[in-house]
Amino acid sequence: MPVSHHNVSRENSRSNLNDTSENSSVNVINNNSINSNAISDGMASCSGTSAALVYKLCSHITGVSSTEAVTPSYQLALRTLSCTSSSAVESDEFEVSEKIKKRLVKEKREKDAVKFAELHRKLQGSVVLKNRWAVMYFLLNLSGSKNKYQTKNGPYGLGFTKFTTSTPLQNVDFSESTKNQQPKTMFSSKSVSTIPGSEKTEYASLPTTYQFAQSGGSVDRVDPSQCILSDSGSGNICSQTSCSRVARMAALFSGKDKTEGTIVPVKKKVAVQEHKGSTNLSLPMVPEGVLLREILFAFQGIEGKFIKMQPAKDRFHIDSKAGVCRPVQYQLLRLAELGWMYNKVHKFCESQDLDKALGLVGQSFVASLKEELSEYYRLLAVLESQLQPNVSNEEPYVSTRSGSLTVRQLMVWTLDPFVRMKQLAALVDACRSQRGGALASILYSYLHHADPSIRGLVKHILSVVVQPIYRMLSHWIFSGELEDVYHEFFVAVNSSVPNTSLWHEKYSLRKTMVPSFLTMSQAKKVLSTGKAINFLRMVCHDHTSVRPQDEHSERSDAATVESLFNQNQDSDFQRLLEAIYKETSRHVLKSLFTQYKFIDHLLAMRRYLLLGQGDFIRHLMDLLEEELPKSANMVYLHNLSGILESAIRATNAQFDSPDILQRLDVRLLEASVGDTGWDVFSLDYHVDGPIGTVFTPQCINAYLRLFNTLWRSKRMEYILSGMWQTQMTYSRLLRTLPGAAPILHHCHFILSEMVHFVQQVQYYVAFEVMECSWAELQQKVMCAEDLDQVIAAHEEFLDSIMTRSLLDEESKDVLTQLRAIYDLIIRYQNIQTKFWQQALSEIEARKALESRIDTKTEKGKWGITEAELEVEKQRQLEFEKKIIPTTKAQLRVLANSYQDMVQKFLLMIADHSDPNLRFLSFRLDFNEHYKSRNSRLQTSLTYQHRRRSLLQASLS
Amino acid sequence: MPREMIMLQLGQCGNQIGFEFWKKLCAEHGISPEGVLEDYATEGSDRKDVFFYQADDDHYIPRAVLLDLEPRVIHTIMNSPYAKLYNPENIYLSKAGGGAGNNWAVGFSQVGRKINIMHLVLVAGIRKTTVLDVMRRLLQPKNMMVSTTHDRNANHCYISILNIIQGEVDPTQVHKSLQRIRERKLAQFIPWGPASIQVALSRKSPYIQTAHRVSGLMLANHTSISSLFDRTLRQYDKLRKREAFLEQFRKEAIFQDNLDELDSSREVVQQLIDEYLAATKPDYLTWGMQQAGIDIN
Repeated sequence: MPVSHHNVSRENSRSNLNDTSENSSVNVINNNSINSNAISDGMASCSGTSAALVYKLCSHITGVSSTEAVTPSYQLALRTLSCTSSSAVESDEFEVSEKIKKRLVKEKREKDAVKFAELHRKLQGSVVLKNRWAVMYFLLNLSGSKNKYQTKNGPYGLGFTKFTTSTPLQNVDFSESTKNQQPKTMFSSKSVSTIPGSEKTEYASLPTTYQFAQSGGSVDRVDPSQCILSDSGSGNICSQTSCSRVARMAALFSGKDKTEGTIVPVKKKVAVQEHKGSTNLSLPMVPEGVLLREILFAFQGIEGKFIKMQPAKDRFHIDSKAGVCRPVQYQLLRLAELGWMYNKVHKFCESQDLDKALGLVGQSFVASLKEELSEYYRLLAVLESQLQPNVSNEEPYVSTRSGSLTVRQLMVWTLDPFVRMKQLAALVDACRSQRGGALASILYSYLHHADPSIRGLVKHILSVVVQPIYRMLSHWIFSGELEDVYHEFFVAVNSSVPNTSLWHEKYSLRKTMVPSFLTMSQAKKVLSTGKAINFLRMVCHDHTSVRPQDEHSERSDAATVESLFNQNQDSDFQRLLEAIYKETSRHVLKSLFTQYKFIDHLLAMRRYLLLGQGDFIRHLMDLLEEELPKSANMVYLHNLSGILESAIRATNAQFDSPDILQRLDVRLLEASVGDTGWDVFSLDYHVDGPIGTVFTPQCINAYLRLFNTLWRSKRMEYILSGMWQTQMTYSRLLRTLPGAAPILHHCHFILSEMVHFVQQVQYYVAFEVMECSWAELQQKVMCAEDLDQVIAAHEEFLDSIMTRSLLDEESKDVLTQLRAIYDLIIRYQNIQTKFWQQALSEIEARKALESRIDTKTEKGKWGITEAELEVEKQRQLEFEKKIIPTTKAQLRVLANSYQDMVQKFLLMIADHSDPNLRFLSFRLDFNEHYKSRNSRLQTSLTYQHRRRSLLQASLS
Repeated sequence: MPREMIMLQLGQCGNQIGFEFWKKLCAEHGISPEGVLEDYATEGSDRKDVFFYQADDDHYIPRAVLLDLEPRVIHTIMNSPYAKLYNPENIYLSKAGGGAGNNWAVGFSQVGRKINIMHLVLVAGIRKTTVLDVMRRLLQPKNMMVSTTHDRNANHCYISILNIIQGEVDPTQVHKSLQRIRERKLAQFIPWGPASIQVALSRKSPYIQTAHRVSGLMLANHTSISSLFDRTLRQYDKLRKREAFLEQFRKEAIFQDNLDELDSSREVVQQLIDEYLAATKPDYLTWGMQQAGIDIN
């Protein structure tokens, strides 16, 4: 019986509070017994300790001597005594003495009562007994336990148990006296009948007692003096009985009959009036009815008289002055927690209502909370009505125990609401300062609860909260309109972005606002769908597209809202989104492919900027050959435009559609010092509208860079083929010139090596870079389901050809090396051209001399004079001994450095991380010519290379 | 068109080959023997103007000039269904009509100008299912149109190779094939410089159905062609020694005084053979320099 324990300990601590100079009331009692029977006791070893004394007391009370039998009671006693929890009962000597008197009067022992009052007065004068109140209280309770003592067998039924009943006893007294202000009514049989000992020992009966004590709804403060005065007459009788009990108890303990001596000398020091002022307000137990009312207030977050709010600690507490026993306190506090949680939820709702920027999702969250709260109010109303009839139908103090509402019942009834409110409070805490999708995400995280009722609650709230999100979402995916005043949706719009970059920049994903029940890919699909609609409208100027989807939007009912967060693989929402997404994407692609001829433009890019249209490029180069060797700042755009125009007219480019040809243009890149027209010339292709979304400025920039590098290598091929032609012509011409043959041979040699190099580079770029990437691009574009895939495929295409054309950051050095090789080709061209000129002038000089000799001979003169011969010899000598050796040396140096350069280039691409470049090195050295000449290349192309590729294979 | 292409069809062989060539080309481009575009080919995106030009009546006319000293082959062409294809203004026949009769000097005098013959090349053609198969077989001697004898004294090799592959070809297949050829050393290249197999890819005509997915043509410059010249030269020397057929040549103006032209021609062929043989050796570069050096001294 835990209740009784609490009561006992409460008494102890009370006395401690009142009488700080003493250790405890228990000690006082024990001291009495020590005085009388310490010597006679055999337990010398532990006679000094209070534990031993308690043991002794136990064995005396139980009347058993064996250790085993006493031990349980002893242990109980120890536990009880060591319990230190605070008590609600204030110790008041006057009160107790009054009670004793009342008791005696009740038992028709008025004389005893008078006697008790006298004895008590005497006792107050004595100083021997310090804990008078405690002793009296103890004795009073012992007297009440008389019946019990006889009926119950076990030690647990002893006086301790009686404490349970004594508390309501006091309460009844208190409340009735409060009501009537007439002590006499207390003695009515009805009132007495309510407190039979046997009833009160039952745990459940405790609240019942409160029940009928709750009479008027509000408790009036009692004037304690009235009570005291009214009862003072009968006090003596009670005290006499009480004294005799003490004596009996003492006799029990000591085995002697001398009890009076210990009590009589006690003198009262503390004034009764003082006691009254400080403690008597709270000591009486608060009736249950009052508490229930208080609790109902607390349920609404309102503090009552006893259940107070502590704003600093943000909690309910029970007024320490209120006479509420501990277990009830616990129950009350537990119940008050519901109110506390209600308060939290309610306050949250109110504060959110004031928030102007709360947003629709927040509003619906508050709405759903309010819905729950109104359900809660309904419950409170029911509870209230349960409480009211008791008051109205019955007389307030005419107690029957048939009242339907008790604290305990309340506990049971509010169990579900408690759990619910707890969940709501938890949600409120979690969702504080959250908005939009983030709020929904948090709510969703609470959906994974094993308790189906909580799951149901959260699900309901979530379905309400998701409503606005779903509305925004469906508005977005059906009509592309963003109705998101509070920025709660996970699609954000940047209205400052112009339509040209609508697809890439205007709309973005607010990652924090993506509800967690949507996957990222779904969120992206949602974004894409609405974006696509806007794209069609604003960029493609296609307004027809959105219509056929209206049938979908009609299906957006509650089921789909729920399927938004309750989704599995083929939920309604997933299917819906998938369908709309596909439909819209298909529409965009169709518009792009048919109306805006994306594929044609892509082909045009390939044909012109990536030099796919061979005859056009070749002819353009033919025409530009005059213009571009000029210094870069001497090259004028309008001249070039004219050349471009004639190149188009003269080649197969003329058969292209006018729209494409109109977009084709020339552009001059920024020139740096020393640049020629060749360095700054570039073709250009104007894109706008929807195709500009794929051909972004970055992409166009990539195309221009690609054009530049391809154009350069094309020019090398062009130069070399031109040189080959002149070589063929000159080799025949120069056959007559002695000494020129080795130069011709060497030139042929160098040229064939260079031609090989450039051809292989060209082939590599044309087939293994362009053709392969192009095939991939085409396939991807054909299979693309949305514009993003097209864009991605196109960017991938550009990336791959940029990398393989050595235009990425990593290949910078390799590209520089390639350019250096190209520079050597141009230097070689200069050497050869110069030599051709020198050789040609030599040949012409010789021819001129011969024809002069011939004409003179015909005229019958000497063909040549001595002086002329000398000049002729000198010139010939200079050609053979100076020009030829110089050219030879130049060629040798050039050939050597060229070989070195190529070998170094091969080494660099062998070390390159991109395996695709191996194709190039493989082609450049197909017959292993360079490898056989360079030992480093040998290891690089075999060992290291293989190891690297193995490593790469294992990594991938 | 810049860099326009004109095809010269010379003599019996040239015109016979040319005739077949244009037949094939017409079929591939969907052009009828009369030079009119077939109904099924009107949507084609192929560029016909590379080989043909269009007359005022939209007829496609081959960019070809037909030359012959005797009219037999050209008459055959002009009696075929393709008679209307050619522009009559582009056909030149000898007024004498008798032909040169295998006499180079006669031809020389009749046409009145010297026509250079380019280096001879090995030609091979094959049709198969895979690129590798095609490229591998192209390198097999039995598929070549010139058969050369094996020369024990020289290590003959390829100077250059061009493969034209037609059909459904994935560029990566080409790469793989080249890799295989290199690994197995199916082609022996010159030892003095970089060389490789150049590959050109071409599309197949949609108007012609063939059983093979891939077909290929190889044009190669191989040093072993010198053995062919060598044999010719030895035969010439024999004839020259016996003074056979020389009377016919002496009738012509160029050989009236002496046979120097023949001797210098022999010298050119000999030089060619020597150069081919030199090209099989790693010191080809120094060979060329020294040879020329001798001239100086």
